[in-house]
Amino acid sequence: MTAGERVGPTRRRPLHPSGLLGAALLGAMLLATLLAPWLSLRGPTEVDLRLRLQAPSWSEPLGTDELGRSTLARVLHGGRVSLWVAVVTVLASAAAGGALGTLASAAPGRLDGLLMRLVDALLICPPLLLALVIIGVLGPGLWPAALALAIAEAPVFARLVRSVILTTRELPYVEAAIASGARPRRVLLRHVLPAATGLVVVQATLTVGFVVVALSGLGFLGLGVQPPTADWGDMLARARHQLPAAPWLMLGPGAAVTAAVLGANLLGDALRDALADRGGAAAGTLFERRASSPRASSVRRPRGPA
Amino acid sequence: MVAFLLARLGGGAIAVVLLLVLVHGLVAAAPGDPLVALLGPGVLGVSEPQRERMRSEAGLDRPWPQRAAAYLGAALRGDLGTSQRSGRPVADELRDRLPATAALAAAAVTLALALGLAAGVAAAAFARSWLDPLLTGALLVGAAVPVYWTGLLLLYAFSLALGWLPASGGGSWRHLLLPAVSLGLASAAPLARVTRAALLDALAAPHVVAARARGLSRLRVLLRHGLRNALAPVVTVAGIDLGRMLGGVVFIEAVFGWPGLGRLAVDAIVARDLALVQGIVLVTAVAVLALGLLVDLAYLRLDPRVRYR
Repeated sequence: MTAGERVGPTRRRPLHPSGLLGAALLGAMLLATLLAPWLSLRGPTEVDLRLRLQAPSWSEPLGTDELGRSTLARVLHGGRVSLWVAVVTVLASAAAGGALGTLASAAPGRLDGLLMRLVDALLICPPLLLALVIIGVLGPGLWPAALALAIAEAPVFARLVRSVILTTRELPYVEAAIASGARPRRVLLRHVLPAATGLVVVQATLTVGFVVVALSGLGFLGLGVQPPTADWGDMLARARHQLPAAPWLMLGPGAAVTAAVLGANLLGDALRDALADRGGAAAGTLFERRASSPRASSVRRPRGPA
Repeated sequence: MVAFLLARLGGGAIAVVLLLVLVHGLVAAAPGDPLVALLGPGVLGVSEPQRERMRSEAGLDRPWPQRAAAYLGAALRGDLGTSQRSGRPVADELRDRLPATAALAAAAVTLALALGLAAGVAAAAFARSWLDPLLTGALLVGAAVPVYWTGLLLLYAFSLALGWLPASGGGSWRHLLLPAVSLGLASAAPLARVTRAALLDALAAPHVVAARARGLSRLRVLLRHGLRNALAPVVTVAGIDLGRMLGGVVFIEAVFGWPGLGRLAVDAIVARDLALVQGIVLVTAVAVLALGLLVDLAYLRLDPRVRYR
């Protein structure tokens, strides 16, 4: 072992303050949507035609829509769909993609090659378009949309987990575990997969932002959640129809999407930096955030003195 | 170089074929009568023996691998099937809509590059001043704004409130302006963040200090010695971003009623016109691959150390 190399466990570095800010923002929003029934005075589907298209006021900070429903209540309740479903979608996608990646890494070379070819093929299709295709097959609705996005994002996790496993299992400590007689299952679960958790958590956090935008976007296109359930995207689509008269209607849901994405991005970026600081196996280079080509890494630097 | 290009084209072709097979399989597994999916609900009024004949005429009685192979073979000859919604060949539908989306994407990309580079350079130039946190904060928030919200805000401000530009439709540069700006802004913020980071990295290099020591002006050092070396990672991110922007096209075309492929895709999905959906996937995949190849070629020009083999 050479002089500059790290020996012994590294100290966990604290998260950058911006990451804490992101976590707080995201956490507060998740909590607020959970507490929605207690936070807002009126129900999200409570119609009152006397209160149609009211501008923001003290009693209705975000105004009311064309049926006199409270925009604040609908933004809060809508988060249960737009935010929570997005988080669940990403978890499902990470689990499915991770399982696929693990399977591919353990499969015989031919099968691994075929699986990765299929993953590459999926990666050249923008995830949103892939989700649209799946909705075309399943039909519109909240759960089809969530399932479609989970499938569309899974290839990224599959590639990530597979590459971590392939690099990790060559490391001395894994060899040591194998040499000491640990069974393959134990080696995989106790020694190899934990190396992937950090990267998967970072990728998942960054994916939350995309999925929130995409899920609300599908609602905006009328392909996601169906009325009368409140959802940020569907609210924006309705706001567009009321645009000349009631511009305030688009402020609440739009700001909610932005804040959720901002929170996820801040947290994800900080987690990634913290992981890179800890020297997590080339954390930076393992992130192929949806490369624009299936074999984007064919760039070679010259060897020897340049 | 030629070998590299051929290998990339070959790999890309395989990926496109696999993607088409996957999507074809997905569509074949769709619930419901495939004949209805192919010809529309009108066939439900036809008698069962007649439907059976139509089924064998359309090749639906053959096993899936045969059908997938037939689809691929026809696609190679430029026949992507018939749109169930309009009764026209899918290839014609795509040809009609492609120019509008290409124009929108080109305008948005140009704008995103110009704005993103300018903002990134400015942020790096003021990296040690009070402006920096302000600029980086603005870029962070800017990168989080969903493209359809940007579109709605611009739509309200510039066409409904001020009345300067048309709210919906296509055909002229006046129609193009708002959708292109919305899409461009959405991609400019991430681009600016990468430019700033790459530029700061490049400016830390010894040759930059040497250039300053030789008495070259700040601006010259920033652009000629810094930015020139920072462009390679920026191009990479631009390539990835453009792929993502193709997704945003779907939303922006819906906001502004721009008659491109994005709206065609949504219409096709609402009508369950799956032949058309497959055609759109093909066009998009080819565009994404072409983009990746362009990025690789740009690398050659930007970084002479890069060799492709």
